[in-house]
Amino acid sequence: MTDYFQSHGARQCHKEENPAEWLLDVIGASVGSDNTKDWSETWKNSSRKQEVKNRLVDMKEELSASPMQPNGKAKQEFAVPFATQLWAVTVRNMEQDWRIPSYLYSKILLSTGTVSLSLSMPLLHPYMTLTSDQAFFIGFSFWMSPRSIQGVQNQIFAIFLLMTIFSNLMQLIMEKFVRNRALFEARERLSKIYSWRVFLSSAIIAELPSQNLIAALVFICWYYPIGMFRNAGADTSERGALMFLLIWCFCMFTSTFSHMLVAGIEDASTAVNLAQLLYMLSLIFCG
Amino acid sequence: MNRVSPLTYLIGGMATAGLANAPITCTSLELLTVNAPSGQSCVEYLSPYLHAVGGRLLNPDAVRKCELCPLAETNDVLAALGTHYGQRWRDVGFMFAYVVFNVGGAFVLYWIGRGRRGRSR
Repeated sequence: MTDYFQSHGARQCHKEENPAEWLLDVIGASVGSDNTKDWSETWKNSSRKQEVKNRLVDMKEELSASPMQPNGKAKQEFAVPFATQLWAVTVRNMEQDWRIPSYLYSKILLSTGTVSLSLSMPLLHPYMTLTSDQAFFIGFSFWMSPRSIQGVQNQIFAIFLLMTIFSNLMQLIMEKFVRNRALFEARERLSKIYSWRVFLSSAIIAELPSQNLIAALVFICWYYPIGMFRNAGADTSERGALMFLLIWCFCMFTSTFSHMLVAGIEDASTAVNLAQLLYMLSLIFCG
Repeated sequence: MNRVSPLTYLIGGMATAGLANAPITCTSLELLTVNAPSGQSCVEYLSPYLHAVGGRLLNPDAVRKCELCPLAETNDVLAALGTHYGQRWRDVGFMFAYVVFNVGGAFVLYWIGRGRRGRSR
């Protein structure tokens, strides 16, 4: 397409320029551009139009010659099977995460946080919302808690503090989901490119890599500074692995819980309030 | 409500994984100091108490100024919270069950809330 326009006198499309925007600029449809060429006349007289017409004629002959085959494929709701849809949408979701790094940075720095990281990286995206460096702070606030009565209580309190931080994480996940869902319902659902089940599955799956990373970082920043590994005695590695598994379960739970609550609800703030409420109830009544 | 909340199992699991089977050493501020009546050593005087309530005596043979640590092991603390070291894998299983439930719930709620819009047109 760019070759066609450029061969008829349009300006060069640069390497980093979005071709769609370039096209609008060239034909004079975008704000601030002017157009001196009559593109419809150019098209009528061009050789490509003739090629297209020839191909249409050929297709008409050949396809009307072969009989219509009524098979089940034509009656399916979506053009490609579920697995293909799921793969494509999940990959796209992950690319989206990667290309908007402020989302990932805020999740990671919110939950783990290393003070040196935030100080030494001035290139961070300006929209990053760094709220606090929580697991890191919890870990180092309770540095090597001794095994006295107060120390044991400190360690239990550290566990509770870890629970409280993840309510903020839920907000981030929900906002992103609501944005994506609005786009999905406005455009892709109506054109039936993929089904809503694929959308929901890919939203959940695309959160998993960042949640895994968060689980690993939280484990390192929290378990070892508090000194819990010294309580384990002989089976240190089993207990450490079990703790990591529990932290991982907790990250999974946070992600899936926020998806569950925001799935049916219209806007993000209601869902966030509901999530806070349920979470606080769970926390208060957890024995 | 305690049994329904997922955080019961999560916190219970984390507490046992982090804290179980470890002896507690009291700091000097946490020690209880008791004077045994004359003629009895500390261990004679306090052993019924220790058997009933738990704790550890730091100087069993002394006669005066018995030093008592009210909690001897972290398992006592965990029992007070209602968890137990043997339950830890069960707690992990519960967490997985909750995660699966969340995923299923997400699909159900989405279908109820917004899934029917495509069909009704």
